[in-house]
Amino acid sequence: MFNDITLARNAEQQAGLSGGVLFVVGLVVGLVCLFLIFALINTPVAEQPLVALVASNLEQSGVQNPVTAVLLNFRSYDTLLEVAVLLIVALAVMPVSQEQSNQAFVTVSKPVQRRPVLEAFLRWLLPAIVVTSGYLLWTGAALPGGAFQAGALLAGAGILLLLAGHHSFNFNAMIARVLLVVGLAVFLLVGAAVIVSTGTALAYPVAWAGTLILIIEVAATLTIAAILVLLFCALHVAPQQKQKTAR
Amino acid sequence: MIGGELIIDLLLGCGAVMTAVLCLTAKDLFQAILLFISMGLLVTLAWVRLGAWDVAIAEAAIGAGLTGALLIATRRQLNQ
Repeated sequence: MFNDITLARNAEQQAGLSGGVLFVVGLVVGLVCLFLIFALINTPVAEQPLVALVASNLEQSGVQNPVTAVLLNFRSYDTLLEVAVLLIVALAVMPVSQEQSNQAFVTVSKPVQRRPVLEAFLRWLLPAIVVTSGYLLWTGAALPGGAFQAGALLAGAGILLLLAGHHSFNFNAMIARVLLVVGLAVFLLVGAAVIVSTGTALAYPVAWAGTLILIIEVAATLTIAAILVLLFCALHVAPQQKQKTAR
Repeated sequence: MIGGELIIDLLLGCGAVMTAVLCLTAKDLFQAILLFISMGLLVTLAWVRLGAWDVAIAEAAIGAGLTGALLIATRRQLNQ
């Protein structure tokens, strides 16, 4: 309903503008675009010292993929904060209730509405998604991939499960809470633990860098997947609960 | 074939811009969401053509896949 009203208002406003005004606005936008295109063409290609810098230090990072090396070694502080931001988002949308904290994380029930095609499809797809996600995580060390991509894929599997209607997730369960924080916790722990050997937080010792990055990425994948599914759950479940309480 | 590749790139670029404009101007919400997802896929292909594989995978998984699912779920809640 709300959307129909706003769309109708927009349509009225559009109808109110005269053709002349629209023509002038279009002309200005077109001219600015042309100017920007010419400016882009005339700008000389800038040198990229960062690419060479990363390439020359790649051996110390413990991984062969420059993107992973930057994300989890050279600029790991950024990634740590990104995971922290995700956790804050999760806390903001999380339905908090003490009663549900003792219940199981995953509950299986009979769906209200059966979707045979989706259910049959899921049997084939879910294992494939989990394996692909593991592959993306593992291959992130050498090829494009990594924790965020693998986590998003896993979250996709979780959302498909939710859509089929058999399973529902309870994010107040202990396991779920652990999943939500494990990424940040492991990242912080590893970051702090390396102080012992290198003296600086988040500066991994060269010999251990690959293993440490993999540990952090596995934990981050779980957390990212859990938080993305939680976002979907918050959308999916909350209004139904409201309806129940209203009745 | 440099000419063939250029045509594909041009089609991809124009397609992404076209679907973006159509997505913003669509009256029907569901239509807009589907156009958003297809724009995500076109942008993914554009990233692949630019050689940015990491961004392409992230765009496909998060931009086209997850955001599309979230939008469809939101629309369902709006209708209730």
